[in-house]
Amino acid sequence: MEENKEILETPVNEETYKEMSPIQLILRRFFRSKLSVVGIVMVVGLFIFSFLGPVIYNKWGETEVDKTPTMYVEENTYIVIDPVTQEKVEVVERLQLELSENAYDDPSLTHLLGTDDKGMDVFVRLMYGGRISLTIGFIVVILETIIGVILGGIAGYFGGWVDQLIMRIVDVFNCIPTLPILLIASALIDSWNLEPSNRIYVLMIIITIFSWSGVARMVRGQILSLREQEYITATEVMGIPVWRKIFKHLIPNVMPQLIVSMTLGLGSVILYESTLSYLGLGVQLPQAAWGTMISLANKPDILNYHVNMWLPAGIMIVIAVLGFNFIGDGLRDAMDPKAKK
Amino acid sequence: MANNKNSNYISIRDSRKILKYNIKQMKYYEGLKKRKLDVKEYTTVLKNENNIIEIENLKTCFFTDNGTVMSVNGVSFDIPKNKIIGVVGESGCGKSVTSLSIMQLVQAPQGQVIEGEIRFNADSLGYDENNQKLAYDIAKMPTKEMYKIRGKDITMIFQEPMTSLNPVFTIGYQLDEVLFIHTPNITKEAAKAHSIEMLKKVGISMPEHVYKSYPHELSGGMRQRVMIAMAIAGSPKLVIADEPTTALDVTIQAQILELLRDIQKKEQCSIMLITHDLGVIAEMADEVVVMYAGRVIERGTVHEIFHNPLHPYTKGLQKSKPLITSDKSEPLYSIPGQVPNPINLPNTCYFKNRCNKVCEKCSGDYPKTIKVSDTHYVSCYLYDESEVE
Amino acid sequence: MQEEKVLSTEQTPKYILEVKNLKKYFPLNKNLLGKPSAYLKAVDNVSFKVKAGETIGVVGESGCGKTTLGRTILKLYSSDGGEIFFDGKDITNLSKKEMVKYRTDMQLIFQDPYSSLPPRMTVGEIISEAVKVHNIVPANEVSSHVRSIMKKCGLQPQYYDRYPHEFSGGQRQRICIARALAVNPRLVICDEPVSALDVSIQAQIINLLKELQQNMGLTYVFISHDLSVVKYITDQIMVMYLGNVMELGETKEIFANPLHPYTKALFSAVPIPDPDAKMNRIILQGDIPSPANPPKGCKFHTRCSSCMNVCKFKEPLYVEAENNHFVSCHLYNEEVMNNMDKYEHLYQEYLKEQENSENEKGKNNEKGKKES
Repeated sequence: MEENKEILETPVNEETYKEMSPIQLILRRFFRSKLSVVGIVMVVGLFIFSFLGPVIYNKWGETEVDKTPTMYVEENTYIVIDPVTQEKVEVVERLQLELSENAYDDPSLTHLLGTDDKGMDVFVRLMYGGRISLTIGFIVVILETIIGVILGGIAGYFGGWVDQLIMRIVDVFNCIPTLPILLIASALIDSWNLEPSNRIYVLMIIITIFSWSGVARMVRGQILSLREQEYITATEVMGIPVWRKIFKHLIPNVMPQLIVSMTLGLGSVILYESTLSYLGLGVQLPQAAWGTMISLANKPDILNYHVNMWLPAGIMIVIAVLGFNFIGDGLRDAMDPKAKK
Repeated sequence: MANNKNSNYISIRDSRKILKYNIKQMKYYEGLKKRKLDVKEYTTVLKNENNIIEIENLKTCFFTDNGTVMSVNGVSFDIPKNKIIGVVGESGCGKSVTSLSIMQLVQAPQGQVIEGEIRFNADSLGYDENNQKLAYDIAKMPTKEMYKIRGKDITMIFQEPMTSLNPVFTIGYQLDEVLFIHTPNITKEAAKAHSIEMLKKVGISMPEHVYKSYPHELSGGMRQRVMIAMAIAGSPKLVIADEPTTALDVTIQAQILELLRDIQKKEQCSIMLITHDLGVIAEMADEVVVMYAGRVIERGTVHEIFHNPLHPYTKGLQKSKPLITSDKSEPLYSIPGQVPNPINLPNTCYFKNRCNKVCEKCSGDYPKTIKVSDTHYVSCYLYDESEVE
Repeated sequence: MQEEKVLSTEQTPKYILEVKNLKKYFPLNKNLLGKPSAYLKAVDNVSFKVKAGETIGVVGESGCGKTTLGRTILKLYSSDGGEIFFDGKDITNLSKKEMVKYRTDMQLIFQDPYSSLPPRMTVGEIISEAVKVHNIVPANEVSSHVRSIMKKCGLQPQYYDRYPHEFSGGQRQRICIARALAVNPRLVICDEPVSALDVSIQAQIINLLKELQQNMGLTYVFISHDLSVVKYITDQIMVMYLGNVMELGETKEIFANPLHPYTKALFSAVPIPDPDAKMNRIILQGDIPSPANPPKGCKFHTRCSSCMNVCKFKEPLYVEAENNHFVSCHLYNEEVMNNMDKYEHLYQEYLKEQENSENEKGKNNEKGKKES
């Protein structure tokens, strides 16, 4: 025995390459995937752009209209039948309009991405729109996670009729057709005549109400499977109090899945918000939002001749959603190496 | 420990390097498998006609994120006809990977056979001009050709009878399937009759009933019997049994071992029995191969291994298991330490750090295999060639 | 009840654990109202007692209820009958709150060293958690206490800040043992502590368990299916089959002189690592019946080589065949063996009854068919 012990003391077969905490391991696996690094760059860039951008580039305000009068040439083409020759003739009507503000401006040094139909700077509005989208995204995701964790956790931990009740509520929320309800809700909000800035909060609450059920279902499933793990039985044997069991053993082990679902959720909330804004249900003019900016493309001449007004907003949405999805996928792979490939 | 803490990590750059290296290697070996080969390129000559399988210097490795793991590192042994060969070793010693290499079932693309020969004695090939028996080299054989051997001439019984049968098909369907694949022009009726015959052979009392049932309706022991029936359906030459009784209870294990012994005698096949239980080996095997960290450290007949073990690991393994027949109560002998990390093993004896008979020589190269008798081989510096003579 | 006569009812504190007629039934096939129509008798009428500092082995095949027994003793499952005495005190009906006092006295070591350690806590945190919760040592001594326990369990002190995933199975099992012993328990239930480990590591853990028992005066309930390990480590052995105790006795006695046919078969089925060992192997026919639908009479009669007619309908009593050697088999029940004729008669009656009831069932079925 003495001999054995001595050999035990000397760390001969030290598995030296593994000395990392689980979080370090996850981070390392995360950063090894190129796609997740790309995702991080995209999201960080977006944050800097929308939160620091307006501070640095403060030439124009969010709703500031460029008041320099400009000439605006509107060209209208008509096809007329010549009464003499009976031939079709193209008539071009050129209207020179004098506008009191610098609207419909093409990209230039004064307006990096031009101005929109009201003479507001598109580039600046892009940055403010990002602020709104990211803020809504984060707040909604945090809210839905809190609700989901509490309800899902209660359902999973206590089981029995509590579980039945909560899961049936989740089922009900899952089968509500979201878009029609949102349309109705929006009409309702319209009738309240809210301030545009307050409207955002109402919007957040509505999105939260319709998206917590997924989180709750996931947390419940995780807790159910964790309860089968022997180390949870061990806490029971050790006589560890319930609150400690929940906060020290159950929640930290749900965290990985939670973080993944939160990042993936961010992307979908941003998409949601844009859709609503596009439909005119979300953020209202003159406040900037990516969705409302895209909705300018409803007018055919903006769609055709003023790509600078709506395309950048579209690109921003793509970048935001892709970035969060890349990070979410990278995190999922990093946290569960088995799910790889 | 603290000051060199950073050197213990694989840096991101290193791990990228490993990743790149792995991808390159995997592509290379996968490419090798897809080449079109002439039969001549994967036929070799058998050393001894009485062997069914000859493994020589087999190396199988896995390209993992932490580096290349040499799961099987230069393994050589023969499986003679009509014998039961026992392969023992602890988890991670490469015993299962060896068997998978024989079946060409190593999980690709991470796992690849990179060196060595597995000569399979196929009767169809006949003799060459020097009147030597020809054999297939499974290590080089293209996968398409392997399909003809796998499941017919070489079959396998797995550890988990619960998961190795497909739960959505009946037992009968799964048994018949084996026959349809390997026996051309067999009618449905003939296949069914043969399958029921097989079920009878493995001691199932109501074969017609079992034929119609689904795997979940059977107990673990019954499922293992069905697996055995499946394995012997094509009258194989070699059955690889990978821990066939580990998941079973003692009394059921006794039944299955008895059955395997019976089957081996009746079917005139060889069995490669992989297990970690020395008791099972002693009872079943004719010859024993002891593996440690991807290498064969000792092999010999069952009597040589159990009555005259030479390698300190074999000795330690035998001493560390309490015996049901003895009444001793002093502390058990235990091999200190753990199995070494399989990545980047140094070229010294892998058992050096746990061995109770280390000597100066042990810090040298990996010990050569020493022939003690015609059947007994050991890789250890304690036994010099001169000494043995 | 016959059992009560057999077991002494007086409370002697030298028995640290005494279990009397313990029952644990799991409900099966719940109907719509949640009322079960059948029960799985995982533990049925189990009685035994252990002296402080000794080890009792519980052996049996899968589904025999040995794990359930261990967890019912720890009150992880509520019992459905019987009594559990710990150190002379009845703990059977204690509530969860009252049980907290005893939690530090009774500990459990699990089979699977991989799923029994929380993955996101360091070794130090894992071992010290319960120590802190129960104030085993003053707060400033926790760390040194944990380190001394780690040393006792053969873990190097620098492992304190590492995570479980860095360790191999054997090391993890050492951590589990350290966690269980850190609260200074008196009784440790070891649920197959070595069966997931390699042979060479098994020996290390077995030696460690034995050494710790001597140094700390522990009592073990050692649950295992590996008879050679059980023989090595235990003082008493209890053989279980489908929730019932088949045989209970001192280890030496039971190995030298197994009485129950099941025990005999079980012992003979263990492969011996000696190619020349002659074995009179009794190979049991058939499979273990499902514990949800066990056979009538003696539960073992379907596989028993010396099955008599009486076994098929009458449950054997748990009798003391020799000194401190209990067995539940009709072969050792003098009353049954002496009145064979009477029981043969009873068996015939039983058969008739069976036939009648089956006929009735058949008729009912036919009726049902006709009606439909």
